Amino acid sequence: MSFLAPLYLLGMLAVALPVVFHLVRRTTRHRVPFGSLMFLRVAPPRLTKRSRLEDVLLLVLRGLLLVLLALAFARPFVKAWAGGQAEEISGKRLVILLDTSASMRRDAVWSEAVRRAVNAVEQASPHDRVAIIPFDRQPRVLWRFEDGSGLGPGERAAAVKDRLSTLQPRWAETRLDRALIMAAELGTDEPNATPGGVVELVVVTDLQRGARISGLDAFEWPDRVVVRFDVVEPARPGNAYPEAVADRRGLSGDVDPVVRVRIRNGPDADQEQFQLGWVGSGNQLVDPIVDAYVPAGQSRVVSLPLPTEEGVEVTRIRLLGDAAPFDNTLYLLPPKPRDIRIVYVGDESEDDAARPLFFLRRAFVETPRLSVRVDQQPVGQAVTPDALTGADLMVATGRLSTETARSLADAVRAGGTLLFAPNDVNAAQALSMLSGRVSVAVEEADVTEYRLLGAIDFDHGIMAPFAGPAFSNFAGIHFWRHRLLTLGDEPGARVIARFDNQDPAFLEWPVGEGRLYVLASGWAPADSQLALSSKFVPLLFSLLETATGGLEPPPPIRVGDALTTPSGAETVVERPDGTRGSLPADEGVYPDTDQPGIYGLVSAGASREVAVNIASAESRTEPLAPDELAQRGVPFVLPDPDPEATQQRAVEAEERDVEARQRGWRWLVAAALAVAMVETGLAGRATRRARVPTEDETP
Amino acid sequence: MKTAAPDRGNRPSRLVDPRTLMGIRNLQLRAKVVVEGFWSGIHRSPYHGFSVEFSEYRPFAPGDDPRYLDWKVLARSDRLFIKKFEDETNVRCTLLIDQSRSMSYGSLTYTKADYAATLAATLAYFLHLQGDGVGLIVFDDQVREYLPPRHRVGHLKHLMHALDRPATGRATGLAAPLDRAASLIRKRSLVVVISDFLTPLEDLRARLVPLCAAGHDVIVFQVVDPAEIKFPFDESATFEDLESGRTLLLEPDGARGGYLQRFERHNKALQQVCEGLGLAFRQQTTDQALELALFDFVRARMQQGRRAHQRGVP
Repeated sequence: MSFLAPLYLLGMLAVALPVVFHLVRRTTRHRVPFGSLMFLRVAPPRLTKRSRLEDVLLLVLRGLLLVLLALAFARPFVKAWAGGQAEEISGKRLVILLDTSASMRRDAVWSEAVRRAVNAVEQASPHDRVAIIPFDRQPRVLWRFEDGSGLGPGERAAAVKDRLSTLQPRWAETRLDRALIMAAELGTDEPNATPGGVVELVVVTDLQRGARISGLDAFEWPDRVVVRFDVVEPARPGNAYPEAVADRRGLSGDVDPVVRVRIRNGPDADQEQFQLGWVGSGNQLVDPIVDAYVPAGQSRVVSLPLPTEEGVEVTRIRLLGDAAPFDNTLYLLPPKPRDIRIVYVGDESEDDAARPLFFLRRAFVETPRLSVRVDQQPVGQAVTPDALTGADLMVATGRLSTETARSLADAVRAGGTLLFAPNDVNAAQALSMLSGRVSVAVEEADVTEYRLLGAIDFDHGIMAPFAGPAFSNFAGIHFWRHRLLTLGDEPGARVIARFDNQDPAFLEWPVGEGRLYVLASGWAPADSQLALSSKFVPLLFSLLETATGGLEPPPPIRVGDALTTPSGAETVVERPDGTRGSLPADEGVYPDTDQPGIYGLVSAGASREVAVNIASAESRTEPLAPDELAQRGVPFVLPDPDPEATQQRAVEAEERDVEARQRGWRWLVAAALAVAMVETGLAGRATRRARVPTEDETP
Repeated sequence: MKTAAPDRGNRPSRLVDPRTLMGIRNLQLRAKVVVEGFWSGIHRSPYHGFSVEFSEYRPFAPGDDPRYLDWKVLARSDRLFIKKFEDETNVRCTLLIDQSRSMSYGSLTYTKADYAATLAATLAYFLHLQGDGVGLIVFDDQVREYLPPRHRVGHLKHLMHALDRPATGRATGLAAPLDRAASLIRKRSLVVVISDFLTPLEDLRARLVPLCAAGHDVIVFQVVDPAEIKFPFDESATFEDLESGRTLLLEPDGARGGYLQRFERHNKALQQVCEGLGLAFRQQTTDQALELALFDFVRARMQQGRRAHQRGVP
């Protein structure tokens, strides 16, 4: 039997009181008035050998009453009757999540995190089942529940410590949502656990703001899962890191090429002065070194000129002055513009300002990211399919020979994109062959003065960039002439724009794998003001984007992102640490970008380099507010400053629960009341017998 | 000379039981019963016209005429007394009765104060019938009431009323009342002091001397409760002094011996004081018949009268 309030058992000592009272004959209650006390002297009641216990039964009842009350107040309970509750207290499943993301590389954070993880295992009760899940971009199981089977608590902790010693923080970002979900499912699905037992997730992490938690929005937390965060903080808070903004190297005509770098400084940083520079062969910064002042919580864009020293590999930029150097190196490759090839089928001179080619060539300006080449194919010669191979966009405006039209049609069917803007009705006759449809009638429209574009389908991808109110006004473009296209019943044809008289102005035809775009009016000045308008160049770029699948540079590669490799040939991967890996010919994807740096991919004699950097979210090291986790329903509890006290409180709470169910005190109080009633009756009888002797009774 | 209390076991059957007597509410009637009971011991019927005054009442001495033996007293108490009659005389008597708080103690159904009042009423009634003037001084630590000795119509009733009033006394203090009595009682009188004398006796002799020197005949009745004589308590209790309110927790068995010793010593001292001054002293316990007290009163009177005659005092 156990007691919730054992101190009350001291009340049993009061049993001695009735004994004492009995032995002193209850003197204090009896008062005798007397004529004069002048002949009496003090003679206090004494316990003598001849003292006798009167009313032994009364004494026993009073003592029993005190004992019952003391027991009732002490709130007894019997754990053995609680029925398996004891096992539920200690049989919890403990899943320790250890953050191995790049931010854990900060000073002494990792070693402290490992220590806390081991401590969590040591603090676990022998009945707890323990699993360990390191996590960064992906969680993985390092220690399963069954790995601790047969091991004592000390052995388990030592084995875990051994296993953890093989771990190091990696370079990947923090996907806290994936880790929590995996841990919760692992804990609740564990087959050998006590049904209904508690699953406790202990997350040892720096709990940075950059940790991804969006995946928790749709997660339904299982019952009896609690999450406790053991947050490890670095000695010095704050973190600054560089981000590439624009690399203007290679831009022809630039006298002083620079790389623009944004330096971001965390809101909790205590450093504001930094230096930025290229990393030379000695792993030191080389000139020019740029000073930067970035207050906490702000960012600055700094222009970093190329190194003055010859032979410096311009692939690494480093930030100095930051307390956390793990993300201070930025890897970047000199930008390579993308080559775009446009094939223009036409005879005019490129300098003829009255003809479409003049405007076409000048619409595409070379940029560091884009190099557009317009190859002219004369109409007089048949344009062979080879001439169209590799063309990102084909443009035809004049009359086409049958062979040329056939070649163009084949190229479109093969997946190419053709912009056909016939400049007269004769040229428009090729439309049937190009589209593969015979029902298209073409004639010259009768235009009085000019036409304007009326209805425009801004939902179409080509016109979508103009959907905004600032860009959607095409009413300033006059069309003097246009071809009147009568489509008939043309399934698949989509009218992108119409003239104000509802004649189709711009159409799209899917042809085979490719697409045919038809402008009913040319852009040369004889036909319209289109080439002279501000809409012409963006329209062409939009068309080019649609044709090429996008002109934007690819997003930066982060640690953990897979690299696409050419299929059909084995690829050798040169990693930043100097090691090599290889991919079979049929793989096509290299997944092991586990460190930042420059990766080289060599396949079929061709090589390319890819810069891989730490995800910028990982550099946001300021603390994540617990409220954000709570808003996503994470059942977390704050760190326990005194686990032993918490364990003790849990035990006490369970004991209170058991006692509340058993309610032994009620029976004791009922017994005490019964004893009190019997004692009252007997005491009353004894009192009536006890009185001052009368004259007759005085000896 | 102190008269020994009659043995209870041999108490004559015609003596009135004090418990029964105290059941009579009217004090004068109570006194009348005692006196008549006393007279029936002296004469067969006091209402048949005989004059009951007698002048001599003394123990039988060898040579006395046995015709004058009081046969009733002999039968009741085995004592030989001679009674003789005498002409009527005028006696002034002042009864000093203690009504302090200690007198309100009683282990029987009545208190010492009730008994003392009945005794005083009996003496007053007796003397009144004798034609003597009776006065009264009620005291505690001070004189509370004074009635000069008279033998007028209504005076006896006045006396009875004064004796019947409930005692509101405080502490016992004999010095001041005796001094005051000495100043109040000018003419030669019979002074009867009725008290429990539960007070220090250091000044008692000095206070009684003026009374004796003034030629008064003093008779002292000490009224005590049987429980005060025997201390029959056997349970531990808190004893409370009725006068001072002082309390004492004690074990009676352990206190009895010392109490009886000190109480006996006190009474002896009191008796010595009285005898030293030639005063008649009698200890009367409240369970004794009042006729015997009256009997001893009369005897004491006779003795005093004889001594006065021997001294040549008229």
